[in-house]
Amino acid sequence: MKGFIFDIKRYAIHDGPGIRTTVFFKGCNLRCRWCHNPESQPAGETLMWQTLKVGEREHAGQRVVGYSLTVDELVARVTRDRIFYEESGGGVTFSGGEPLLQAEFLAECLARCREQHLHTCIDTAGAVRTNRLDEICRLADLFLYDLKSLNPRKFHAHVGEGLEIVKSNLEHVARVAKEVIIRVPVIPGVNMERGDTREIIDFLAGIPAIRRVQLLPYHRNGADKYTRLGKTYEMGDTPGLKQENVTGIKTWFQEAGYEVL
Amino acid sequence: MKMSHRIQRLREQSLQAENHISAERALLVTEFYKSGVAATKPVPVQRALALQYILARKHVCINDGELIVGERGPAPKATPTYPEICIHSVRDLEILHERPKVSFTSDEETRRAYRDVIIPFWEGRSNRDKIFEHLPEEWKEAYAAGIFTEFLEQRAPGHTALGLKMFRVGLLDLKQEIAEARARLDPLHDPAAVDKLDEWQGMEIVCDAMIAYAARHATALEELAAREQDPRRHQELLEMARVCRKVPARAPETLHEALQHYWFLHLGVVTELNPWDSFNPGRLDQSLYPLYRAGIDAGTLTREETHELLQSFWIKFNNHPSPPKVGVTAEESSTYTDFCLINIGGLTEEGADGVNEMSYILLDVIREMRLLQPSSMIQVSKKNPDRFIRAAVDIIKTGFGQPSVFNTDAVVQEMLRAGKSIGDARRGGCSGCVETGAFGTEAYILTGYFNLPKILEITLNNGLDPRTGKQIGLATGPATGFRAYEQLFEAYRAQVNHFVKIKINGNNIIETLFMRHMPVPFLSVLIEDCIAKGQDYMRGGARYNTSYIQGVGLGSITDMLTAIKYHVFDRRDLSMQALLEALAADFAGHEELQRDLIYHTPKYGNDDEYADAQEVAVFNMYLDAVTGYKSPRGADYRVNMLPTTCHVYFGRVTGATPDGRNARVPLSEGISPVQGRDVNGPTAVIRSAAKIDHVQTGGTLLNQKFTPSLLATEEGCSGVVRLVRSYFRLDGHHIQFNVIDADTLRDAQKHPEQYRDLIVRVAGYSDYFNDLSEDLQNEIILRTEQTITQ
Repeated sequence: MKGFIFDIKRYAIHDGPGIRTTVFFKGCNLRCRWCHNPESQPAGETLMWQTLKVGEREHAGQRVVGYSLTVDELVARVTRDRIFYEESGGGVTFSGGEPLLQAEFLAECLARCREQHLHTCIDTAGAVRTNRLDEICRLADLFLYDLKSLNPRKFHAHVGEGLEIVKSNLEHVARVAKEVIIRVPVIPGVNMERGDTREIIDFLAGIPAIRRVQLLPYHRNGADKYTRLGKTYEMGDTPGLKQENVTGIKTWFQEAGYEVL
Repeated sequence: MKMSHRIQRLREQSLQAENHISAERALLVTEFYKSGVAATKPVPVQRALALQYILARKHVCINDGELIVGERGPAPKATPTYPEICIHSVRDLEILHERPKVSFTSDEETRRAYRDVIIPFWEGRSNRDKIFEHLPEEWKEAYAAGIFTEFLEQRAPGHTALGLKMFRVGLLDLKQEIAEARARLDPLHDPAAVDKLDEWQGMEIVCDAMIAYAARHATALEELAAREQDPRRHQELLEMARVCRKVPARAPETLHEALQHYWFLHLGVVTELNPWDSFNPGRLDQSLYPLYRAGIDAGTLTREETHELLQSFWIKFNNHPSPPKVGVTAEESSTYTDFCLINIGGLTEEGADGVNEMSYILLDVIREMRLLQPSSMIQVSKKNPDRFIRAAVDIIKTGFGQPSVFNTDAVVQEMLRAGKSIGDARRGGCSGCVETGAFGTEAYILTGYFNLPKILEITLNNGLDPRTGKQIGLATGPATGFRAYEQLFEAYRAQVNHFVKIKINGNNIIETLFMRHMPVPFLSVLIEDCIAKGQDYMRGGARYNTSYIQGVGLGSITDMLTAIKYHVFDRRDLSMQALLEALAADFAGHEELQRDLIYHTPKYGNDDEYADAQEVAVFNMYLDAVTGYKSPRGADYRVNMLPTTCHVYFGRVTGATPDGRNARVPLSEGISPVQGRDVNGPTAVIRSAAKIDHVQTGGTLLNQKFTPSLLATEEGCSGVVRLVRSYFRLDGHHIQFNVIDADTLRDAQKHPEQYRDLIVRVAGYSDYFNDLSEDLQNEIILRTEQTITQ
């Protein structure tokens, strides 16, 4: 079986515990305007401009983003850093794109990682209906589950379709998975009002297994990728956020009893 | 802990003092040799009397407010020369005076002394003159071509560290040992009996000379005390005088005494000669801890006093720039640092966790002082706690490159492999940059750097150096004639063996001249078993003897061989002829090939099996080439892999290379990947670097660049601790973290291809600097500057 990915990053230290390797699946069913990996969105190969510099000379050209690989190949790649996982309590994170869009491949990878005694983590937006979810929840050690907005109007306007699936999947994941951390990308003009946080807290109140929330302040690091893909960056000049811009939101979550990472 | 006002003042004095040449030592040693006394004495006695002559007359400098006394020259940053080893010409002094970097000023009076007194006497008599008289033509040609450098043509073979024992005894105890050794001598059956008697006589003279030199400081301190108005300083000066009357004659019993004791021994070693890599107190936390503990327990020492004493001690090192070199040697290693490397942590002699309270205090002092010298490192054994590494990371992240991090368990293995006892191995560590040694029992001499990439250039040109057109290598056949990669590799091996032989032959000559003419009775007193054997440090008196040849450019040579194998022999998408033409043209008109060699070729440092196989092969080949030779003093030749700054000089003499590097560009440093060629992050670098067998070396150097913001979070710091543990589990010898500043980042913007490995902390995640938009780069540069000024 083959999966389609666009990158494997080693020494990932912010995608779950310890030193990790993050596998980025290609293809996403959402179109968040702030996405910092726009090249991950289309499911197939994507062409992206790049410049190779040699001294003062620039060699411009297009690079193909995305490649397929087998489960064996993937497992061989991620086990290279086993010693670092063992020393740090780290492991492998499956991110994207949206990893649940390749659920069968993902489940196979997780099963193989489990055989290899590797800690696994899924980084998902959850807007995918799949009958493998239960299996994936049982095989993975940790879920990083994105909640961007629970307001149907905003979700539709800024994220895409599938809010109800996001919610029902989260309830399912929280029931079956070993550990879940909610990740909230904090985006100016989208979810920085008190009401936005309240909606999330109200929803999470029904899922007592969830105790931890991580805030991801908006940043502009993906902006130039849009140009290189021939796309428009719809966030325009919206300035990036600093940690101090999200302290209010952090406090709201803490007051509701959540540990904020 | 805060610095007291006087420490701040002394630190400022040390930072502001102008590095300058002092003629004092050179004049005294000239006077002594002119007096005619020397000519009548056996060489070790001659050298002992020379040191005695200097120590009895050199200016006693006591800086206002300091607690540890003694300067190498008459004032801080006053730097002596050693004309019996190497003569600085007036032109050298002018260049040193004028050059913008690493300058040493000299006034007219100093230059006159060199012109009128020092140079006329020593010309033709210095060790360097003798060396160049003896060295064969093939050595000189290879040296001039930049195949290797030679440390010992103008500095003495030093490179050793004080052992724990010397903190427990005084020079009077050592004189007693000398007497006992003499009593055991059997002159009827020992053919070396006369040599031994001469050596012991020299040793006794220098012990007395050093005790007298300490007493001169005591007298000066008493005089100062008599004039001192401030009652506190008055008492302090009297206490310092008492200490100087006690050590180094008798064993130190307090922290203050131990630091002053070491400092006198240090001054003795660096005044006797100009040993390469200065001299080193070794395992400082191990030697100081019992005295510190006793002082605290008895209530005679406070923590504040402990910090002040150590800070004062630190400043002494910083007052002593490395004696300036001349010629190629000045070019290859142009720095003020004299490579005293304080070792902290590691194992006790019994093999237990050696981290103690003093280890943490020393880390604090490093952070407080933030000085170029002394350099510092932590030894990390699997038995040491993570907290210790973490404390070091808190200093590393402030971005001044200290302390570096060493693997005790690998270092102990290296020493056991080289035949040392387990106790001696555990008492040892690393000095200089990364060089493994048994502290107090080993003479481990660095002999020079070895330019591995240049030799491939010569191989590709059938023994000819394209820079000069001279045939300096073997005629191993035209490169276009190699039908298989293995033929090329065997030709390269033959050339490496050829130059290793030339290098070792040169070293054997040089070593013999040092054995004959430049014994060091004072250093010999300090290094076991010189006294017992009645044999000088220079003549193999130390318990263990090693000579290192430092391989340079492992990353570069790996990428060069990989590129040839990959394109010319495996894929066959490039002919050898086309490659040679592109190299000869320095890639002018061959830019697409250069791009492909850089961007579309496997590279070392990426955990790439193809490239790393060449790394292992070339390392093993170099190891085989050097291992097995013995020097005249009985040392084993061994390899280590470190460059200091020589990769820059070696790069300057090396033309364009098959890895896409332009002519004259620096080579890779240590065992680090070629600058900017590792693009898979630090775990991939570590896995690549760990593929060679570090345990068979005497040290390797791995440099990792991080931005300060990458270490700004808890995850970032703990990530570094885990990287260290992982690398060391793979037997890695050493790793240092270069936390990059804004200027470098600006340079990275201008030359991104050289910084492809640069990782920056962005916002909640880390990424390669090159992958970021220009705006974001600017933002990070701004942030970096803020991080540094905080």
